[in-house]
Amino acid sequence: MDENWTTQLRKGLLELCLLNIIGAGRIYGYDIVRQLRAVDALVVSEGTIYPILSRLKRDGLVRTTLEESPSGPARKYYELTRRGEQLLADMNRYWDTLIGDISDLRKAKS
Amino acid sequence: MTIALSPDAQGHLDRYLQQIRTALSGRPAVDAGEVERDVLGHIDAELSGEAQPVPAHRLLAVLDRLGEPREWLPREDAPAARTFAALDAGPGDWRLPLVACGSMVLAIMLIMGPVMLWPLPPVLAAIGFVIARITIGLLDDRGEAVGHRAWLVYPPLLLFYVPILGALAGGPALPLGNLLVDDAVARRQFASFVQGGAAAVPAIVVVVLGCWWMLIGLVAGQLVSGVRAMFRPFAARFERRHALRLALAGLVLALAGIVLLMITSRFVPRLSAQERAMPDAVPVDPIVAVAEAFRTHPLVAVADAHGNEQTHAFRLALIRDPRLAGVFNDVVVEFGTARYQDVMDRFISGEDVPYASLRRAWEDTTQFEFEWDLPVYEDFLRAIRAVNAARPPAQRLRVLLGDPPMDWENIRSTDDYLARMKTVDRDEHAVAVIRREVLAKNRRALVIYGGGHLFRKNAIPNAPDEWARGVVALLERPGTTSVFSIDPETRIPLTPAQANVASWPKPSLALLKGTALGQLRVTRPAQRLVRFEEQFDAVVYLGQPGEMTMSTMARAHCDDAEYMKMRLARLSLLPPPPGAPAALPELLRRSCAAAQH
Repeated sequence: MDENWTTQLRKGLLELCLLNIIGAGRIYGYDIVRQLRAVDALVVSEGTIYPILSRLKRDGLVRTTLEESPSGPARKYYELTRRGEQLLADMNRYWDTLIGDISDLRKAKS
Repeated sequence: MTIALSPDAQGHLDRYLQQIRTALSGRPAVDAGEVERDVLGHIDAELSGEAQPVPAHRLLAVLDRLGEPREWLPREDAPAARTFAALDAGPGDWRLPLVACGSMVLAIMLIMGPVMLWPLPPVLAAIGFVIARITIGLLDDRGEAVGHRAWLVYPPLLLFYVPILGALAGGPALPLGNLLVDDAVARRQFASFVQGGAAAVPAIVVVVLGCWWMLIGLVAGQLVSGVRAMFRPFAARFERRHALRLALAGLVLALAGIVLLMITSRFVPRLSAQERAMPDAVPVDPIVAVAEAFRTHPLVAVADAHGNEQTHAFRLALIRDPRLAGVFNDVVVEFGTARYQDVMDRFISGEDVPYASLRRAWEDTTQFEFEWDLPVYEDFLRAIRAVNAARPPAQRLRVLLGDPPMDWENIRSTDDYLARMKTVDRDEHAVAVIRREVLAKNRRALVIYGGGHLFRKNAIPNAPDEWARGVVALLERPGTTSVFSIDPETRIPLTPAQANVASWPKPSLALLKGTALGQLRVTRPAQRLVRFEEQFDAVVYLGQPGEMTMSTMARAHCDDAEYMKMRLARLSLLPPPPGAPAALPELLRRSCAAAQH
């Protein structure tokens, strides 16, 4: 498989995955990484997500809160803003349509 | 971080954080400081259950999963970067560093060479800077060390970074300090305002500097990644704590300045009346001073007291003195009409020019009086021709005739003359000549015009604008040109303002700003108060007013019937100005009566 194609695809999908994980409920930053580890096909450098989170925050799609932790330094929690929820809904709709259309194309071919 | 790392692991972590800063600098979409903190939190969470101090291999496993920071973000090549990247063949390529350094070296050579080709030097320096920045970006993207290429890449960057850093560090304290050093009036006003002695002046500068550091420290603390990007690659280790330290240093400095101010206002005697008095102007060699003025000004203007023989002698010294050879290129004069510029060019360059043609240059200006017919002006032009004959081409002078062209053949009455004069602006014309023939060609000129044309301030009461309408004011008003103006004073006694002037060597030049002489009122009581230092930069002392002598007409002119007919006809066009000692034709006759053979 073309490595460049998969790399580009993964990077594009990473933002969708991140928003979905955060969209499921308020979450600790490190736990986002742990959840992403479970998505085998999305193998990326774990550090990649932090600049994306920073950009999502700067774009007003997520907000963060710091909370004291009994087992270490204060933890940063992420949650979607109203704008982030709206964007996630739009992205998921687009993704579903895309998957559906591509599946139809593949079925027609077979 | 809450976990303890082994020294080895700590070293790896420091290097990794450095890579993050480098990778994220210049990426405005990402807060590099926040990402760094997130990564530290990540490492903390990963290793919190480990035995401590955490060994290097455990940390490296975590860093390995985090990946290379330079691969975290897609490359955002600017169009310019893509263009220059084509010149970069990859690792080990020296072409871009060579182009960057070459541009800078060429810029410096042009500045120091005989032909500057302005504005090429700053453009080349800017190109060198941009290419150096692109080179650094390309090397970072490849994860390649700058290595020995730093010798070529860093100088073009430092050429800009160092002055910017200096300006940022000094801020408003720099111009304030300069003002208080240069301007005795401002120095005393500041000291009086804070009710302190002379020590109050540096204290004010310290307070301003401290406040400035606090401000830029706080701003830089909020823009850490911006600072890193601005001074890339030298500020990669810059962090918020550094900015806060700067702000803290500013606070300490400001407080120290305030304490010093309080001490000076409480314990140091306030300025006495004598201290408040202006210092005396200091006489210097005028040739040296004019040469110095041309270092910082493209134009040095010397006022002409029309017909005065001492100012004529001073002007001759300026063109003849070998210390000024090659220092300026042109002499712009009021006493010549631009209509005959070609004739003057030929005459000054040594060609044989019929006298009947040459004399039209000063006889046919817009002025109907006979002042330019006095022999000192023709003598001055002949002196320049003689100087040129003895100098190499690069040091020869060109005379630019500043008065607008005048068609005397069409002027037969007072109405004709007045109508014609409404269509010309003598000062605007001179300024246009100077801009076109001197400034646009990167030349330097000695400008010789009547003192009124060199005033900066408008003395008319309630004038809507404080700028005068003369040559110097028109040149300086847009803020692009600075003229050094000199008044060889012949009419106003200077000794009442500064008694020791009478003992100065003749000629002597003295700067006026902030001096006793500078405070001399040079406008009449009915006019706005304008001081000497506001109108001119320097005064030249040629002697007491009673010692001044005036040039008289040459006998040859007075015996020239055709000339006398022409001049008397023109002198009859207008009545003498109020307060004139006699009608203008009578003044010419008197001058001819005193004429020398």
